[in-house]
Amino acid sequence: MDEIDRARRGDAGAFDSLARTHERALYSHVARILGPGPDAEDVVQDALVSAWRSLSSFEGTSFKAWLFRIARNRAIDVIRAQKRRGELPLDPPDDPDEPGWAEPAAGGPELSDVAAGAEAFAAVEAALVLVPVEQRDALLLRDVEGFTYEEIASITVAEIGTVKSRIHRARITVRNELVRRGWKGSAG
Amino acid sequence: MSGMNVHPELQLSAYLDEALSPAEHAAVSAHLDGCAVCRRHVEDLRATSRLIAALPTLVPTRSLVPHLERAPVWLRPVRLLGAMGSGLFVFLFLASAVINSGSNLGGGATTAERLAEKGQFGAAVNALASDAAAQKAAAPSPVPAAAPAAAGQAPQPSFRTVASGAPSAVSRDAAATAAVTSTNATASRPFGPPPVVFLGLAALFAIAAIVAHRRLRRG
Repeated sequence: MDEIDRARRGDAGAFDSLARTHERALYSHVARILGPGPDAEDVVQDALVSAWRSLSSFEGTSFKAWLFRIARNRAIDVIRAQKRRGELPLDPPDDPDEPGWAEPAAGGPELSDVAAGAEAFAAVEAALVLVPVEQRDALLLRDVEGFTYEEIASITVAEIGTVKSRIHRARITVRNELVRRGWKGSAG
Repeated sequence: MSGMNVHPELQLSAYLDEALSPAEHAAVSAHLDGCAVCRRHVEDLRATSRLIAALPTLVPTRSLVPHLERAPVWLRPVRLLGAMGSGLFVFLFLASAVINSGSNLGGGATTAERLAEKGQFGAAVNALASDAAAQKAAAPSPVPAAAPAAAGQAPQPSFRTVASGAPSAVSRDAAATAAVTSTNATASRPFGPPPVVFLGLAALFAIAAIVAHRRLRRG
């Protein structure tokens, strides 16, 4: 019997082990949606408590995806509440047109040559903040957590086509921001 | 450009992630073979994706794993019994309070008590005498053998002096008060234990139910 089965049968130790396995990934994802800090920590902790209480209802194949669904739903709820209170600006409606590609300035390093260092990470983090929440959510689930498009559709309760569009638009937004910061596009 | 007449912009990320159907994948591949612009875009998307994937994991400032312990199975019956017991003892408290207060506030059990409470001691004595006579007549004689000894004598009430003589009003009142007091001592004894005992038990059961409920909610 694996840890998930034992946790479903009420083994708190097994759930504790599962929660520790995913704790940081959950926090990292939620922190990039809400911003790092106590709010993101509370959301993850509440999500883990909720997961423990509703563990008997878990019937999927991916426990990780199930946890992410609970946590990101809570994070999105917090974002929506903040927008209702006017603490956050509303996301612009999805643009049906294809996103544009910013023209790179000459002389900068090519994107494909950018070393994964502190400077690049800071630039990418700053670029991610510019991405609308739903798109950022999908992009991070894909690129950071490695979920498939089908899993992302299940986690975010969206159509596959919507997931494809969100990921693509989010990547272009990040790419364009990096280009605006001086990196060239690929030579192709 | 081959395979597609227009740039498959919206499919490039899905192509990169191998999320297209085989037919779509083949069509985009064919297009990329002949389109330098789209190839450059795919490379940009790939580089962007790699940078995002390489982002360091953010670390919380504290452990986010809740302290979990599933509540023992016996807590549910404890909660149920606590709630039911609390309700029962509240009912008993109210019932005993009503009964006891009823007997203390003009609710005397006999005619004599009620008359005595109204100050009609003479009538109370008469009522007591008639009650006693009626009880004696209704009850079978406890000592049948003694009947011949008492033959010729009419049954006498217990308060013979009062009933047969012509006592003063003061002595009549004193006798009535004594009789009523002795009757009260037996007939209107409080119902069960004092009501406050029921109230205390109700509180104890309620506390047990609340503690079990909170523990169940936490678990």
